[in-house]
Amino acid sequence: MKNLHVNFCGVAFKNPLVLASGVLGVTAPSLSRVIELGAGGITTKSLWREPHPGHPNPTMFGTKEYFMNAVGLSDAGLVKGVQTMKELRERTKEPIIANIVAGNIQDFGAIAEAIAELSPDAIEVNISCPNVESEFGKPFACSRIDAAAVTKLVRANVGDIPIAIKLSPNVESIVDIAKAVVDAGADAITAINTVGPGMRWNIDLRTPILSNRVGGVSGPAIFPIAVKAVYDIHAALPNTPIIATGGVNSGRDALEIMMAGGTLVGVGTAIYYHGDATWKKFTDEMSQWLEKSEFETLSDIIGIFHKA
Amino acid sequence: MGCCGGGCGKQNGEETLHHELNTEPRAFVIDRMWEEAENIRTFVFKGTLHAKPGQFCMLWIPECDEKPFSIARDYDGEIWLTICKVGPATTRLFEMKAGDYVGIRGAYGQGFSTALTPSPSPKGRGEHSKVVLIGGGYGTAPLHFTGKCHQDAGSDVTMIIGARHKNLLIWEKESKDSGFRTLVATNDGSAGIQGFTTHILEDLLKNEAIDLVQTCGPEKMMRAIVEMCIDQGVPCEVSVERYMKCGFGICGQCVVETGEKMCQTGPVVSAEKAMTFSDFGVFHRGAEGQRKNW
Ligand SMILES: Cc1cc2nc3c(=O)[nH]c(=O)nc-3n(C[C@H](O)[C@H](O)[C@H](O)COP(=O)(O)OP(=O)(O)OC[C@H]3O[C@@H](n4cnc5c(N)ncnc54)[C@H](O)[C@@H]3O)c2cc1C
Ligand SMILES: Cc1cc2nc3c(=O)[nH]c(=O)nc-3n(C[C@H](O)[C@H](O)[C@H](O)COP(=O)(O)O)c2cc1C
Ligand code: FES
Repeated sequence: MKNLHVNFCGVAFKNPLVLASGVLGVTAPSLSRVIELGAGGITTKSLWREPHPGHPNPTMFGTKEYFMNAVGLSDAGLVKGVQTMKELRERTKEPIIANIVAGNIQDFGAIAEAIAELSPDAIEVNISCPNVESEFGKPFACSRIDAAAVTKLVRANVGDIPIAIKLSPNVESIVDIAKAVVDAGADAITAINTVGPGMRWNIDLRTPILSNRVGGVSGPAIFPIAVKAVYDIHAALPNTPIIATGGVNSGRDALEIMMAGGTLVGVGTAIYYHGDATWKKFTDEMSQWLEKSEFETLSDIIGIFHKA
Repeated sequence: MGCCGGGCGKQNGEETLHHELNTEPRAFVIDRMWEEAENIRTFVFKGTLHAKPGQFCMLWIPECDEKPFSIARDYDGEIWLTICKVGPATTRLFEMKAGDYVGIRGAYGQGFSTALTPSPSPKGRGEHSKVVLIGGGYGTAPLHFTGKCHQDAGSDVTMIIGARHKNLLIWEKESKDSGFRTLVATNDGSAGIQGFTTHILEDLLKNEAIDLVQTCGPEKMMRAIVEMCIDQGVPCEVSVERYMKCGFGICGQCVVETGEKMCQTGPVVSAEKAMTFSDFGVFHRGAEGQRKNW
């Protein structure tokens, strides 16, 4: 029986599926249960240094094709973040990716330093949330200079913990931003955050559904955009591992986005469609495919579309 | 018409996800409303959510917020929500009038088992079985709906209602009018016995053969009830409320200490399951996930 092991920046994952940030990520019991259900690793909800309230409800809804959210990065701040991380470490041995966020470059440095003390297996830096623009302006992921500045400071503050910079698809060239952050010291790229933002209204209430009026789009409809982003980044930076994220909704989708260049595969909105069964269903599909294939290990498929 | 004339909820069948794939809120008009007690009001909407008793919906108050509420009735073409004014969203709702629009999505979650709905409890599901329902505060409202379903199935229903003072008692008249044996406890003795609903239950458990206890109310009360029922070997179900944002298993706000989501695995769970949650009756969490003791 072939296994689904992959290695990401020196960290061993029993399978490449990692819980994407912001989904089921409020508490340690929630995150560790996702591991029990079969995820290869988990990403925390974006952690802030200070408490951050997020937007009022409605903050999310879904349709058959896509999902929209404008949670607005609610979090109780560093004290709870530290507790969550410690409790999580006690509850699981599988890899923990700590996702961090801040409103300015200095605060990114500070939260990174504080979280690094807890020795997560990797740190993911969220510079690409489209749902807090009214508060903080355009995400740092929209500017090469800002994205590189955040990366440099985080890199300097976290010792040898691998860092992945989470990028936005809502830019002219995601590849240019990826190159800039890798030059600035990023070990890996997470692509993509949500698309848009988009907008939906209720025609009877004549009100936008999300209280933030606009929200990031995720789920199956964005999968083609995610595959292209991952494909382009891998083409430009073949040695940089990618946490390939966006609309993955089956084991076959996960295999496809790995072949486009993903080392790990972020899975978020799929849980809306498949619930707790998501992890086992997807890994079973992947195992069955791998078993029948000519490949010995899953790592062999990473980026193979580029060799065709 | 009995509650099941209107369809006592959709059957779960094989479904594992307790939502339709489309979770956009749908528009509903407030048809009418009335005061149940000080700061407690019932709102009526025309339509159905195909809810089972004990399930909840998300009520969107446009340009304000969207919050979870138990469904106090879903039959005869009407949806009832009994709501207590406690903070910004409910205050805004209390300013709304008949004819105003809101958004509703749901019904979500696991309801109470009755003879007519799938049951985690083996007993107390059929004709002549003896069911005791215990409500505290607004928790009484969904239990009345539950009682109606039991009654339609031929069960004998006792409703125990608790409140701090008689002015805060709700659904007592409806309970009596529905033919439920109705027992009341108030903290100050202004109606019924002076004391807690648990005192009444203690007596009943001593003197009568009870097949099923179901409760919805303050968590410390429910915890005491659960312990009594487990001790006496009487099947019991409780509604465990946690902070809810999505209601469909994505946000993780409603997760208890086992990692289970109360919007899908709950809010109604068996007493035995509730006792596996180390937070049950001890603490819950706020909007940013911070702990708050009950
Ligand atoms: C499954 C479920 C069923 C409920 N059924 C009813 C009901 O039938 N009638 C009723 O009056 N209330 C019910 N509630 C509680 C109701 O959701 C809150 O009272 C309401 O959200 C308060 O909002 P607010 O803005 O007025 O007050 P806030 O000031 O925002 O909150 C007051 C208190 O309400 C609780 N609360 C606030 N927001 C939420 C939330 N999103 N999820 C859960 N709790 C919250 C918290 O304990 C908080 O301390 C139910 C809650 C749940 C989870
Ligand atoms: C409800 C929700 C909350 C999210 N919160 C965060 C967050 O806190 N931080 C972050 O970096 N990304 C967040 N995201 C984005 C996801 O991590 C992911 O990048 C995106 O949803 C695309 O993947 P998916 O289609 O598999 O969900 C959130 C997504 C959703 C649906
Ligand atoms: S309310 Fe969002 S997961 Fe339960």
